[in-house]
Amino acid sequence: MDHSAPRHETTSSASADDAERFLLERIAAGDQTAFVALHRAMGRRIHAYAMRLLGDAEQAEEIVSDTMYEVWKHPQRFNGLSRLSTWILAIARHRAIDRLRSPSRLLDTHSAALDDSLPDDDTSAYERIATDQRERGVRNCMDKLSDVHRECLHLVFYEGAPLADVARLQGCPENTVKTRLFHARKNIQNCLRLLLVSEGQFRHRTPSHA
Amino acid sequence: MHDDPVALSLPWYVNGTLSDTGRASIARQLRSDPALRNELAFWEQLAASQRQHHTASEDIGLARTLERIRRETREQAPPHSERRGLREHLGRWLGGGERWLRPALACALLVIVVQAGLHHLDRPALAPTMRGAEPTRSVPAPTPLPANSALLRVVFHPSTTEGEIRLLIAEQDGWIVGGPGEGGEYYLAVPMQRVIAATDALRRKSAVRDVAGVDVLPKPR
Repeated sequence: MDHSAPRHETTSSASADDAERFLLERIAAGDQTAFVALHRAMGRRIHAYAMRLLGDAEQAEEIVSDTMYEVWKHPQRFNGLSRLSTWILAIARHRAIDRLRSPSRLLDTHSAALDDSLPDDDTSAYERIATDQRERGVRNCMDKLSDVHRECLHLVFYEGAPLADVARLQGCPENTVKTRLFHARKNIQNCLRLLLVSEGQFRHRTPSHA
Repeated sequence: MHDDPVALSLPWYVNGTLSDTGRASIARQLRSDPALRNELAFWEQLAASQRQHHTASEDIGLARTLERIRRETREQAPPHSERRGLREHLGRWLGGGERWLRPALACALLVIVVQAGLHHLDRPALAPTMRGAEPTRSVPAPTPLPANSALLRVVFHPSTTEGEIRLLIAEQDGWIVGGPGEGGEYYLAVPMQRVIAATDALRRKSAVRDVAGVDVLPKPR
């Protein structure tokens, strides 16, 4: 297990965020040691997020640098209405969108890679897939999701973000975030079913590609 | 297929950000609903998979950002030409005007220099020194060295600014415990486990002339 992902317990998140706010106050006062500490606290998270959005390690590293440089230059822009990490990730998101060839990708929930999935007529694919195949299968299917769905999953499970923060970052209502996750799960289930069919382990009714 | 509010909240049940009431409600329903338990297992697997995915170093992008800040610090420091301009301006002021004023100015300057010299002899040491473009203050008294830290003697290039020095030190998780000395040397404390990496990293910096490990901090003169 990689422990680089942020902690998810509410109380430790709150205290971690307090520490980050304290660092930001010191940065606003020109304390470069505090800046390095905040960079270390956020760098990997920004990189992971940018990787999820852009899929390119070099560009993701540039996003880390661009984002943290902006934090260094304008710490006073943090208005305290969100968690500090959410504010920083929002900067990273803007920077990543600037680099996307087609920024509207982040509005499109459709995934071409999943077009061949089978219809959602049976939910047991996840239960039926062997445990050793499951992890590989889930990862494989996650990669095929649309950018929006992948981003949503990243924010919820890698960042451990509350629903309100995910909605704020994605710029949509909370119910839309819930719906996105619902569809992400459905798409992964369908993709797993397809995987089982291709391996001859799943008998299904006539597939329809409507 | 669950698409009720409870099932839709499961991802936040898994990531631990639901309110206590929300958690209790879902926990109750999980006890009596096997399908919901299956969905929970699915989300837990997905969460684990997301967290396993990323393996970048914690210093990712740090060197690049610090370099940008360093560049910015250099750009903000008064340019060399401005500093020379001030010297020229002073020279013109001293040299210009009526010729009969020059001996008087020379005498006045001599008196100032002699007085300053006498004043200097009365004092054990001057607190501030000038390094590069910005003033750097001597550390007034040595900071006690914490356990599990090592001491390094680092000599920076004379043109290195205080901002640059502080950044270089911060990059190594270090802090100043003494200096600058007469030769421009600083004494840094770094965490014991980072001492080799910090020494190597500092040696590679163009702003650093010399790095050596030392056992004790020299007594202030």
